[in-house]
Amino acid sequence: MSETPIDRRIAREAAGWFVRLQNSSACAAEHAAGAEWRAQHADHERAWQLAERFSARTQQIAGGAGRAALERPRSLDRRRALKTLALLIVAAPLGLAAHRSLPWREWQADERTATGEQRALHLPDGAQIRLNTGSAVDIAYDDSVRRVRLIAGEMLVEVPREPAMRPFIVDTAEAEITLLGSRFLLRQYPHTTYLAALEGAVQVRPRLSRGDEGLMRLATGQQTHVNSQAAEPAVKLAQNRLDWLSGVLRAEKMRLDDFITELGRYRPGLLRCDPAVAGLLISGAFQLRDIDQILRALSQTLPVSVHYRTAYWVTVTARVQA
Amino acid sequence: MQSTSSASVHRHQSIDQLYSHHHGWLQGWLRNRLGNAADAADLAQDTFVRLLCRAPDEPLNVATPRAYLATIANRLTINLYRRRSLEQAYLDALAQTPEELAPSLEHQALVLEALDEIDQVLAVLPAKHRQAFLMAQLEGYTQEEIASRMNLNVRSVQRYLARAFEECIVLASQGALHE
Repeated sequence: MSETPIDRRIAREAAGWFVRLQNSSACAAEHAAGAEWRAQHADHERAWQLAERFSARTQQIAGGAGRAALERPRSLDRRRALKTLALLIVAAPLGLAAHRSLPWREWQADERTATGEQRALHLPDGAQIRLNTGSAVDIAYDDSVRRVRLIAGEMLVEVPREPAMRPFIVDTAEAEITLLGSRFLLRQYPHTTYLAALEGAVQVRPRLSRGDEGLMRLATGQQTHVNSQAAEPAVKLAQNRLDWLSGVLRAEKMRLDDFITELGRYRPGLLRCDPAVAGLLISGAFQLRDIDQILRALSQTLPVSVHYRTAYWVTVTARVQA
Repeated sequence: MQSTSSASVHRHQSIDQLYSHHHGWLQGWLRNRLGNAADAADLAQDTFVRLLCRAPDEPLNVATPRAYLATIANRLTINLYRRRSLEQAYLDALAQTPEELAPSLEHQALVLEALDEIDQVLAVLPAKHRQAFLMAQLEGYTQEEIASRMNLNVRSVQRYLARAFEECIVLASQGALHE
């Protein structure tokens, strides 16, 4: 039977180790640490094996026609797919020639944060992006448009008004989102995009909607979830969505399994909740700086124990009565 | 064990139902988009095969069946175009190769299969990541050499390469690379 997909976070860690250890200057201690990481969990080893297999497979394509095929210009297939599927609407006109001379107008970057990391990015037009834990964005500015692709995770975007009026567009797996105002929150969930307008309006176009029928506009103070077909009706912004910006996780009668899932975003490795205690409710404000501290507090306030199989595999279970 | 097999029976029934209610619609929808009846028929079929082959415990999203089917079909369509352009590029490049050096048809098929796996990963990477990855894996440049040729520091090169491996692990573990 097919095996379960590997968590992206584990894939990222495996890839990081794999690439660092490929470098001939990696020392014995690094190799030992890498071996230890692999041994920590079956999925770590699986991820590693997949990287190795893929690496070996690519090395078989020595030069020649295969290489030429992989290096073909990609814009053609992409254009073909776009034309057929109307996945992206790229209608922005070319910018004024005068703007071409400004060096920062074309600009590209790929940024990501590690698990537990938060970071602010300052873009050349004065825009600012705050990335939450385990997030990834690709940023591409050109003469006519400022585009940011949210690949994983969560971000707060602050967009200044720009004299050149280039549109600011965020792409997610499900939607193309045009920011019309100045402050927005976005999060990529497994099959949906969460979007909140904090200041100013935003227009959402689900990828599979035809023409204008799926278009939807959010006003300041509203939030929605979007799948590739349609956006849910807008509702009032839930204020606790902003808590991570101040490094806090606030729970109000939150189910323990939801709470643990949320905590798990900030801590490397697996963090699991035993179904037997999943329905316990938890309230409080927790500092995300130290997740293990929160786990300790958990076992003091709820009838649960926290088991460390390894530092990267932690389970919250019912406390066994002595 | 019992529950697993009854879940998979249940799943088969739901797929049968999806098929009888929506297969015609899906094929029509694809034909409209692609303007090609043969591709539309193949892709509609592939969409259901894909559903059957997924892990048995993965929930079927039957609340919005057409959106669900369209999402899968769309992915398959993009993949089809990507694969065709890859095959075309490979054959074009072979045509430039002197005849006595051209690989046998069997060998070409093997190479194409490997190329297709790699190409699926490259397809989701930005251009610079692709370039760094190809230099490292196909041409055997060290990370330091890539850094100096691309005018980057070694850490950035490692980040680019790691992204490529990250995507390959994710895709391969989803079984996406063997299809």
